[in-house]
Amino acid sequence: MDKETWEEFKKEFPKAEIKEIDGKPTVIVDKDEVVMVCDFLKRHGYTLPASISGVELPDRFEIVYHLFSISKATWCVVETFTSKDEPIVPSVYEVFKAADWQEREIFDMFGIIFEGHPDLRRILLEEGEDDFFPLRKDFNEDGSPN
Amino acid sequence: MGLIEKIPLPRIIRVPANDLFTWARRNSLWPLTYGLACCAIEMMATGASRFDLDRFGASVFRATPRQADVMIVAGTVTKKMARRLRRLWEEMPDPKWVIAMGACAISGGGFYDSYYVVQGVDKIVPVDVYVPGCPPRPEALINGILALQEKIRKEPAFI
Repeated sequence: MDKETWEEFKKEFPKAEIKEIDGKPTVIVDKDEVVMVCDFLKRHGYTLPASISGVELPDRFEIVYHLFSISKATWCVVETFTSKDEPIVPSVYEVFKAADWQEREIFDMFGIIFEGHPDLRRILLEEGEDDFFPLRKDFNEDGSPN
Repeated sequence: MGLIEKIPLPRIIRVPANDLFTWARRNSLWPLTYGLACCAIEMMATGASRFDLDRFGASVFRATPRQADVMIVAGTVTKKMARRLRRLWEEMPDPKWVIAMGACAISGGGFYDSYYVVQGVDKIVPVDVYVPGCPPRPEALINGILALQEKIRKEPAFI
């Protein structure tokens, strides 16, 4: 994004932290702002949500949105985080329809609830298995396989 | 000319019923299409022209378990699929057999210690023949089918 757009961005989202990781501008925002940030970026060309992934850190869960701009051929990364006791994040389905299945997969593997998602249920694993979130670090902590 | 002329008149061949039934069963094994993963490709290759399962009578793959004799489990069995696999096996009418094809069907294969892979299909259904390999070559699968035919030959046809 050019300087003007960045200035506009910083004015609209003063609390967001902007870094550059691996050559890609990374924006770290609060989860309340994530939908507005994604909407802003989509209006300024970042229309392709190439990957929405979940990360588990020792004290929190992170959701990472890799947005790609086809017209500018550049990436922009948005990161948001949520606590482990109450893993609830607003869904960006209204902004990016592709988030539908991506968020379902994060829910399936981590158990993070996406508020406002039209159809939040498991996508890969069997429906109806409670407390079975394989990609969490404390899954099968006792070392038993399966 | 040939063979039929050598049979003396009246041309009646007497065979024990047991042998007749096992001969019919082993030479027309109709498999249930149960390709789950990469082994399915090798199973398809075995049914195609170069390796030709048809010469053993075993290339009439049925999509419905009701018409199938043998279930060739070709591929990795996940826990989600395990329920469906058991149900389809139960829907097959007797006599039925199961061939576990490939490392994943035999024992979970490379997915040992996985959170969602059943460590061998014999944890769900009884298996008659195990064909090792990853994937087994078509010749190996044919070997497995011939071994199953041998097993059927020795089984009692009536209970």
